[in-house]
Amino acid sequence: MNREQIVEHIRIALSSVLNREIGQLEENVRLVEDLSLDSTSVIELLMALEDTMGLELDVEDLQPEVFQTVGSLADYLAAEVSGLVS
Amino acid sequence: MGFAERLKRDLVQDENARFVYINNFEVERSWAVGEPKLPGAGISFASATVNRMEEMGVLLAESADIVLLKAPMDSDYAAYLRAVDASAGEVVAVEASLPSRTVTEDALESPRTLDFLRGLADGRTYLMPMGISAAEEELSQAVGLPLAGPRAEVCKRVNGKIYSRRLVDSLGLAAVPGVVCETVADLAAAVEAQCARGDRVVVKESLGVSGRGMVVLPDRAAADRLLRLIGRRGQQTRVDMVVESWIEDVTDLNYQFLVSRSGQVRFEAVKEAVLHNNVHQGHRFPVDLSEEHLGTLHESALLIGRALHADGYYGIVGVDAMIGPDGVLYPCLEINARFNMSTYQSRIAERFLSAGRHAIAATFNLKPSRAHSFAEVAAVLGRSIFDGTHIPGVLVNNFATLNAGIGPGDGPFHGRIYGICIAADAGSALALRSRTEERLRTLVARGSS
Repeated sequence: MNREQIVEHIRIALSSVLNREIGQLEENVRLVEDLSLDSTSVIELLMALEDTMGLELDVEDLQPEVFQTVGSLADYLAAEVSGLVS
Repeated sequence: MGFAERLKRDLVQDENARFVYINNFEVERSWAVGEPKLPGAGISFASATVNRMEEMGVLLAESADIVLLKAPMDSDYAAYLRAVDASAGEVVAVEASLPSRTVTEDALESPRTLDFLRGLADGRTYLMPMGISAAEEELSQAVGLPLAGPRAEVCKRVNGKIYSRRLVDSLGLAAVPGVVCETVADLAAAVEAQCARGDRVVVKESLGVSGRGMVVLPDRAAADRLLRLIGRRGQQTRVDMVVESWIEDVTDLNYQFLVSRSGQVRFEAVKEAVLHNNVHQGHRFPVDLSEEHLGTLHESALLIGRALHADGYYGIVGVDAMIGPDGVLYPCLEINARFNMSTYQSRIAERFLSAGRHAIAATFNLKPSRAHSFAEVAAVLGRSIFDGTHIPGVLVNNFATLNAGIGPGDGPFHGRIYGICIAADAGSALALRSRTEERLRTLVARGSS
């Protein structure tokens, strides 16, 4: 799965969780400030990403930094995909 | 006798006591440390804006009282509150403030503030926090001023959603269908059972922050996803959550009462959430409830208050309630045994909400791109800003939250202004709310261009 595909998965998951269609998603978009993701939505976002990407995420020890921007979330997911993060 | 005097009389038996108000908003975060959470909910987002809600305490203090703040107030805002007679106490700002810390945590790192507080000890000065956690107990120890409330351990215990769910059941109050879950296995069974009823399900952490620490599961697939995530912890792992049916199209209520140190329960106020086109607009007061519903709330306050006192609690209590679409009143969804938003509006309500006036306590969510001064806010509101006498007028009751979320880089950030929209009737208050929001949005939009 390449970077572009990961960002597309994030876009689809965010559209579902935030209940509005999100168009083109740049990596510097901030999840909280720009998209108004809140702590309640995070759980739903994680659940949606597991479904669409077929991943099993270790969600217990996630740090807030992961959710700063689309890019930081994509970094985390890319590492999960490649198995670099257990 | 005004609200602050009643508070002092009921908590420390001396209506002339001096209170040092320490408004440690989201004290629940402290209570929740080390407690089970929903998957991923341990991620705590920047609390800078929430921590600046401590400024609301300025509108609660009487002239002999002190309000501890994280930073000095905008001088024009302080002058405005004085001019309209909305504030009276002395404001003291800590010298070592970090956005991520509560005002209590700041005070503990501020030697000059600690010395100042030590100097207040006269046998009738008390620390009055929003809620009492370990940090407030530490501050009390450090400065030698007693807390005007019970131990942190008691406060934490009675603020759990499991506690309130069990209390509702034991008191025989009308309860939303649901169940307490102590383990992952309990949670799985409860979610299954609620899904089988065909209901939408809400899962709440016992010690989650009010309005957060919860997830609504709209359908079976979402329920399965949550159980999959949480099931990885092992079936017998503690979760301490409450699972309930999620009821749509409700009228949300919040009522406040005071449990005195000797166990007397005094009903204070009830407010109703206002929806317009399904968007939350704030809370209105006074409310227009039937005699029957109002009677049930008073009766519930008495029962809950007595039970809390029997469990060692005294102080302010806010309870969330709701009226379902079928008219059924559920008088206790959640107990917040601490100050709540209604508490901070008590003194304003007494001064400015005489008979024939209506108010909506509103939150204006804004996206500024730079810091704005209160002078700019006052200018854009113009004659709409409350002058202490004439209505309609909006009284800004928290300004520091507008700029608290400003980041180190460029780009818009989340800011808030809290305001009480006062008018002659409920419709006019709502119209004032809309005008105020439009003007504030214009201001921040201009600022970004």
